[in-house]
Amino acid sequence: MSWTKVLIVDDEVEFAAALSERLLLRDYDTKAVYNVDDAIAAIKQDPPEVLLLDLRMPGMSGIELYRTIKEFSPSIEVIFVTGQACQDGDETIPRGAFDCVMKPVDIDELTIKIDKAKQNIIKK
Amino acid sequence: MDSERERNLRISQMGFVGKMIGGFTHELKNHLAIIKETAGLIEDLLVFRKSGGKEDSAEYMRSLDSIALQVDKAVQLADYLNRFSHRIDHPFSTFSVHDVIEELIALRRRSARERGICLETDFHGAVPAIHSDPSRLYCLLYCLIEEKMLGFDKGSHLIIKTEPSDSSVIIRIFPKGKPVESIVERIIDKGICIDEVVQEIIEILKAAVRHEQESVTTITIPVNLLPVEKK
Repeated sequence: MSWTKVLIVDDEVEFAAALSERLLLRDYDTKAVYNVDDAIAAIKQDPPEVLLLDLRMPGMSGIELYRTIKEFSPSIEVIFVTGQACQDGDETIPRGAFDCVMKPVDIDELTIKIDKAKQNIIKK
Repeated sequence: MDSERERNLRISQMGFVGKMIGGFTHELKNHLAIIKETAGLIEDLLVFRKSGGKEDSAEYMRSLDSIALQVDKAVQLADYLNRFSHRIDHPFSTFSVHDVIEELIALRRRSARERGICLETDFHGAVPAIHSDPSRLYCLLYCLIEEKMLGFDKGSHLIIKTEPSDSSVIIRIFPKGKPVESIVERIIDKGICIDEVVQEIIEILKAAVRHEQESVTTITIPVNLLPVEKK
């Protein structure tokens, strides 16, 4: 599967930029933004199909951003990317999120999940 | 100390250590994630492009520099955790308050950044080393800094200043920024910074904590918690 539109939202610039380039090399139409405001602007301007969202970011948590985004772009599939466990801790992944991967990311595992998210959109 | 208070104190200190380790591992995983992605990118460029031209060489060098930088950051972070853990493995020791503040800030910086708060220091050069209980001082400072972080909006700064005073060391936490309108819950970090535990730690350390004007908190710590008896 190729040319799935992916947006990476992560305040770790080097991580997001490297991951973006790796996905581009695998034919995913990928962009990366590094803060909440740019994420909202990018989604409003050109909504991705799949959003890779950091769970913890300055200013607004990934979960708050998820809820905001789902209000104006409900069809986007969101995969949370986190340095913590996906289910434990103070913050829990929302039930409507497509999936969750842990940092450091396994690129093959991630692309499988992105492809499944895309298939989910097609099925809808 | 009765068993209930002792139990609360122990739970609080365990929780505090857990928070410190949790913050450290989260930050370390971020550095490792960058290293893994950057190394993966080099591999991808070799596999997908195979050109090996000048442009690619420059990209490889940039990626290798990024890996080296992340390794340095991870080592520095591990060094702070190492200092922290060795400092608290003795119930009493002689140590620098500056080192304690520096380690605490380094291990809580990520949490502060997520809340949009900048932690800064302004150390007085003539502050003496103190003989005290480092683990409880850490816990007290953690709670007071957390309380301030909770009380101020994103974009705020917390400046931690020190100064010597007779046989004490004074630590002041100066917030600069917009206070949040209401703190929903007075209890920060359930189970760690409950008021009774904080008061207990203040008593054990023979410290004094005052909340002053403009939300400045002043902590006075005796230089020698266990004065040596003269024969």
